[in-house]
Amino acid sequence: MHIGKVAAAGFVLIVLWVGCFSLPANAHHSYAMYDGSVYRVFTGVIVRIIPNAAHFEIHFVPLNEKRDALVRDDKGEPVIWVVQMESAAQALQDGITRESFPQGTVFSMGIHPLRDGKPGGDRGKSGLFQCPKGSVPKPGMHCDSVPSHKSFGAGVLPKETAKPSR
Amino acid sequence: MTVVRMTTTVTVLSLMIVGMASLASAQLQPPEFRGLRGAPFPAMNPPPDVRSYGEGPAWDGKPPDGIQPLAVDLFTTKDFYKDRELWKDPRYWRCNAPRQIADMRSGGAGSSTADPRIGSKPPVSARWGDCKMDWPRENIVSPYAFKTAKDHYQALMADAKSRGGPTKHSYETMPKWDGAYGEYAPDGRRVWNYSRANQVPTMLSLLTPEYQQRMVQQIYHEGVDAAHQWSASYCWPEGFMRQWATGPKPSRIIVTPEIVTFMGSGSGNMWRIVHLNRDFPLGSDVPQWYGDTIGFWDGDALITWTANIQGWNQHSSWEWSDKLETIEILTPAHDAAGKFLGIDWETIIYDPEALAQPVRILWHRNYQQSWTAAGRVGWAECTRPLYPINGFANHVAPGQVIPYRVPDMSDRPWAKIWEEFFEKNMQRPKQELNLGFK
Repeated sequence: MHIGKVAAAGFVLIVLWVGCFSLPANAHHSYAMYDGSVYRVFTGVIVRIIPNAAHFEIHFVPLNEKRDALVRDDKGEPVIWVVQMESAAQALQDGITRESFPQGTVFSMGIHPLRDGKPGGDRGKSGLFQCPKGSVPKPGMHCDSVPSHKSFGAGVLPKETAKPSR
Repeated sequence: MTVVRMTTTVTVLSLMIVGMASLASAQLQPPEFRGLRGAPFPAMNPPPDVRSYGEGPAWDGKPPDGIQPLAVDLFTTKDFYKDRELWKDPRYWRCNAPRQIADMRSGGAGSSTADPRIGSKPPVSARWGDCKMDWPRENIVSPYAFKTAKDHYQALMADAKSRGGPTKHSYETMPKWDGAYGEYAPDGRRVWNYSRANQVPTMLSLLTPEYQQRMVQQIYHEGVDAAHQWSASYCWPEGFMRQWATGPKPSRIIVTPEIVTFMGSGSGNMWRIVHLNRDFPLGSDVPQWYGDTIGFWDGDALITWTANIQGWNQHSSWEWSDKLETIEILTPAHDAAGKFLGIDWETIIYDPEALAQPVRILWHRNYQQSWTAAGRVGWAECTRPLYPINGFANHVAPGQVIPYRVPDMSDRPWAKIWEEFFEKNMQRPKQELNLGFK
């Protein structure tokens, strides 16, 4: 009986703690434009972290399958993808900052792509992995396969459900 | 009877003049703490605007007497990037202040004119400013030896501590600054950051080479192409430095023992909170449009340090970087009878990326009325912007369909418009994205 009361009190405390201190999502728009049934997994290079967007954003250029060149469009310009992340507070708590992800950082993550085929998506529940500075994964591999990689936040790289078109 | 009336009139006028002189002398003269704050200005502050040299079509392109025009200047060049050496010569700008150049085709923000200073054959007929007018650079650069805002703040704190401070005010003792404020502009004179009081080379001398080029790019496209990319036109944020120009200013103040709040509204909203007796960081590492501010009271003076500011742009003037930080010292000014006139507001600006050395602004916010007497504080929610059409900010009627390139708000969107539409034949120094891969 006594143990039951303690357990119940503990459960209440946990609920209160989660309620009080978990970070709000602060969603500013619907996610209907993302295809939540599809994951694409990228290894790419950071162009910019945007911490003060309505949602935290990562702008990056994917690397090719050989991991030795940027993916470019028909005019030879790098194809920049925009990833909608979680709230800025959550991303920062996971250690994703302008300092930890400077321009040129190689990283891997999965995203639910935009339904209209434009280069963008949302992170979903994908893990995020950073390659050690100066290193890239082997062809076709991702940063979670590179020794001494770093992970940011929970999750693993999801299984890709659609191949990148380029 | 007539003599009595005249005597009375003269006496009243004399008293008014004496009163006005007394009022004026009480402002913009904060107490000096040598090497720390309140350093006097070598010349009249705020400065007068640079005048136009002659009004009317007869002055189109006509230089002032005794001035030999350059063979190539801003209004005749094919590529301003190639003219970097000429940027240092006021004649390259026809002796106009930056804001005069921005207003070449208008009567200023919000007004058109039938006699634009760009003249009858734009842009070569642009009129000249007064080459003899220029507020000395010595008035702008910081008179203090500090290299960083942090060092300056710590020295101000140490000074306050040496005198028993910082002061911890209660509701009963805290300065009664709550109310509405205006800008003190004696004889219409405004602080230098309006970019009306200086020759362009003097302003450029305050900047690092990269930021010099950025300012020149802006002045050229405003003056020559009339392609103003003002933030408020597009419902873009105004940004921190616009407080000291025509952006939203600190026009309302609220004081409590824990915080001091500055608020203002106009082309956007400005809301800054001074967190008293706190240390950085105040929150997560997310740049704030008006920064994070901490501060303390030193008697009745408020001393603040602002950091974590979003880098941005102010039209007709200089851009700043994410590294910009400020020290602000707010000191109350009173008349001879002890009446509160307002606040002498000294700001020292540190930006090692944009500024060649720290600079300073001293202005006065004159107390106007209490919160009870003042009207409501408006909240400007920008919903009806102009749109960039072929590089020009234009009105677009509802229902029209226009091509629209999504701007990269983190990469000088104003400049991208100029570069796309107006710089095709110019040799702009390459700034390609280098991610370390081919």
